[in-house]
Amino acid sequence: MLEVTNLVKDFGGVRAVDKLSFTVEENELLGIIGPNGSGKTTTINLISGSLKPTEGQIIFRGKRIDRLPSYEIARRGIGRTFQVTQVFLRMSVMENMMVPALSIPKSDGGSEADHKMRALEILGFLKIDHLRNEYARNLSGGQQKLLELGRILMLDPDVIMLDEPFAGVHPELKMEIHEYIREMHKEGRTFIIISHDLQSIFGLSKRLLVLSEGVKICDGTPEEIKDDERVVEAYLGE
Amino acid sequence: MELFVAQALNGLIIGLLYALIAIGLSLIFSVLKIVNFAHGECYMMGAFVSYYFSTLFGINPMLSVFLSMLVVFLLGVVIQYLFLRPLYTGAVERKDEYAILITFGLGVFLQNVAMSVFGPWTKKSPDFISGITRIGFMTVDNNRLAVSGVALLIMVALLVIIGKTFVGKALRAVSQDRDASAIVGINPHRMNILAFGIGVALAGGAGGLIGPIFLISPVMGILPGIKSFVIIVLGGMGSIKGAIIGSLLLGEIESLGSVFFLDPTRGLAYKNAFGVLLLAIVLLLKPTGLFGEKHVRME
Amino acid sequence: MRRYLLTVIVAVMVGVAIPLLLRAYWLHVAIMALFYALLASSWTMLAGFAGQFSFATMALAGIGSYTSALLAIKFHLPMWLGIISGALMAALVGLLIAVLVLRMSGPYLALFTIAFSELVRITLNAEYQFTRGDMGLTVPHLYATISKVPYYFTILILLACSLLIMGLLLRSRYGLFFRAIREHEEAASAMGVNIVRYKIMAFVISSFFAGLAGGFFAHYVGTLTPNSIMEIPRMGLVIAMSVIGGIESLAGAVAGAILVEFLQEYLRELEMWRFVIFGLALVLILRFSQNGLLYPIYQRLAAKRVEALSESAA
Repeated sequence: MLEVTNLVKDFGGVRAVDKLSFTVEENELLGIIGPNGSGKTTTINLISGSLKPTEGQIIFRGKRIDRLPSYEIARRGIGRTFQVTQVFLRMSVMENMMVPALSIPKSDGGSEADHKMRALEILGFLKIDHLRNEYARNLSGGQQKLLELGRILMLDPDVIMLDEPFAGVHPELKMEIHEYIREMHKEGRTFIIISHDLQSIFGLSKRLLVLSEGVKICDGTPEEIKDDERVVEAYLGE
Repeated sequence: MELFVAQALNGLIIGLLYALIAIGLSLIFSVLKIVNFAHGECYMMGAFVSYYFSTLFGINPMLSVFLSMLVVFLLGVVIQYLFLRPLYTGAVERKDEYAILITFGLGVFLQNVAMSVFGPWTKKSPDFISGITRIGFMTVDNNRLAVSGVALLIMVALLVIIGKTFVGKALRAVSQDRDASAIVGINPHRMNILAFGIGVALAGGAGGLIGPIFLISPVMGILPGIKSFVIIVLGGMGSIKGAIIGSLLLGEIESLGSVFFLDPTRGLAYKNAFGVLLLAIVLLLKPTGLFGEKHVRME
Repeated sequence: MRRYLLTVIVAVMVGVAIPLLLRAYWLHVAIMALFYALLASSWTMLAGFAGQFSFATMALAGIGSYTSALLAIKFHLPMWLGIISGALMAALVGLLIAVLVLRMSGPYLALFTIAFSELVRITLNAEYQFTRGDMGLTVPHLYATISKVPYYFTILILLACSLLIMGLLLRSRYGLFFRAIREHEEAASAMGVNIVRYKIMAFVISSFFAGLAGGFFAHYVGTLTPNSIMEIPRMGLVIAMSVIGGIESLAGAVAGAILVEFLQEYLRELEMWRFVIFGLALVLILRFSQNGLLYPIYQRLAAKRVEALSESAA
């Protein structure tokens, strides 16, 4: 479904991503792990269109997407969250949800009222519907993370890329988010998740990609990863 | 030919003064990460303070320039503390917007204060050294010589301070990595104050130096302010070397460019357009300029 | 909704009554206030809503002025047509600017638009064969009468229509997209918002209204010089009006413009000091009440509305 081939990204003299290649199948839940600065977020940025690759290609459902602007890629069905939560602070929770709903003309139409209903459903699912008229900046960090998830769901993408969904979140919320992801995955969506929280990610995904200094050093099941020498070295070496 | 050389020399002198202004702006950008939209007005204030020191108090014109630099430095410290500090203490929501609007607003405020207090009319500062000197086939008036000399002196002094002293190293540290500097014991807030103060003082010095050569007025800062933006974008935001080269380039382009117009009034009228056109083009093609770093967003 | 309509009706009634209350000089001030209100609100839409802090508004107004004036003088175009053409010309230039600044943000965009404005001003000054530059271009008046009343109603209607259009736009999904772009452009794009299209839209519409204001200005004042309308400090005045009234609402821009314009005439004896006061007000408000003077009032009104809603829901 998603093919990344020989992806390279240079920033001035620094090569953040070095000839990275991997594929993601439909309904997979791929985890990406690696020490700091290994190029994980850059990879997501390249796929989502926030950054343009120096070399290489990215193919989604048979079509190249690596030179497209990020809003076009979002339209085609790839959504992402950000490492530092990027909700629209001075807009209400409801307005935050309506932006992705209205930005993309949906094939099944749907009036604004329909979108609002759907937004309320999703907010209810995430247990933050009581906050719907609250300004996003008044939400706690954890609530903002949930809002980000909600926004992505409004976008209704086939592929969801989460950048550190568990970071800075207290254990209770972490479990909730864990469950939400699992449920969304069951619905048939494809996931790519970056996480430093090895415990959580091992529990969620059956396949992990390990990056170190922009290079893929391992691609396999959690068990294979744990035993791999290079992985241990990469983590200990930092 | 003579005209050409005379203009080229003129360009050099103007370039040196632009350099002082631009280095100041560049310093502010590299440490505080903001563009000081009031920079032209700080240049103007320096000119007026120097003027008043030398006419009202009869102080030696060159000394007045240095005194005015001190005054503008203090003004900068006050401005930094009152209005810019919140950017770094997390009190401001939209940092980029705030920085633009508040420095712009301060610039307009200073201009209007100058209009009210000093009057809108142009004035002329007393000469540094009167008379002229002959160099080969050319005559240069002594004021310009003095100005070039002092400007060079100040620039060299600044480069030495930044390069060799502890303070200079601290400034460079903060410009590269705020948090890391804080960890090793450098107070970034103090460095902010210092950088802003020195930055505007340099502009003020340029203003003081230009007093005897051209007329001063409350609106004299607008164009040089814009040109200093041109220069730092051209040379690269945050690069002092780039600021110097860019300034000399601009000085020459302006002086020589107007020579090529057939209609002298038009040539003169368009003189100021070169820099602005250059700014627009550079922003379009290579926003990081010739030598600079990428613009670091404040949040 | 009902409250909104009520405020609009009251505003209209006040607006219509003004010529009865004010005579020549103060009517002129009112006209200028509405002129600035049009400019300030167009800037608010571009900056306060869409986050594009452009300094080109006055230059675009000037383009509207000169286009309309020159069309009337050289080609004897009917002035109404001229004003619309001026607005369209400004919109076209706005389109150009928008495309050029697509990749710029923050200070870069500010610098570019300042540079652009200066370029326009310098060119208009330099090409004095066409524009009479600093000597002043004499522009035919819109109305044959010396009474200011028809001018007042003209600008009132222009302002009202503009506010209606901008208001509807900002309340619609497009307003939502604008605000998302201002909040966080990258996240907006990740949410599917076509930032290219909407940034251009914001510029073009804002420029159109700026040009419209400029066109009116030309045929009202009757003399045009590049420095009278396009200098950067005047842009600063418009920004001050918008900030003082509240940068995030059209009503704020209008209120700010009216307040500042009337105050500055009222304080005319203070001469230059009144601009000092405005400069100070701008800076202090930015520093201590970032959302303008009127924001606390909005907040209280909004809080009351939420209270009323939750009470009726209970």
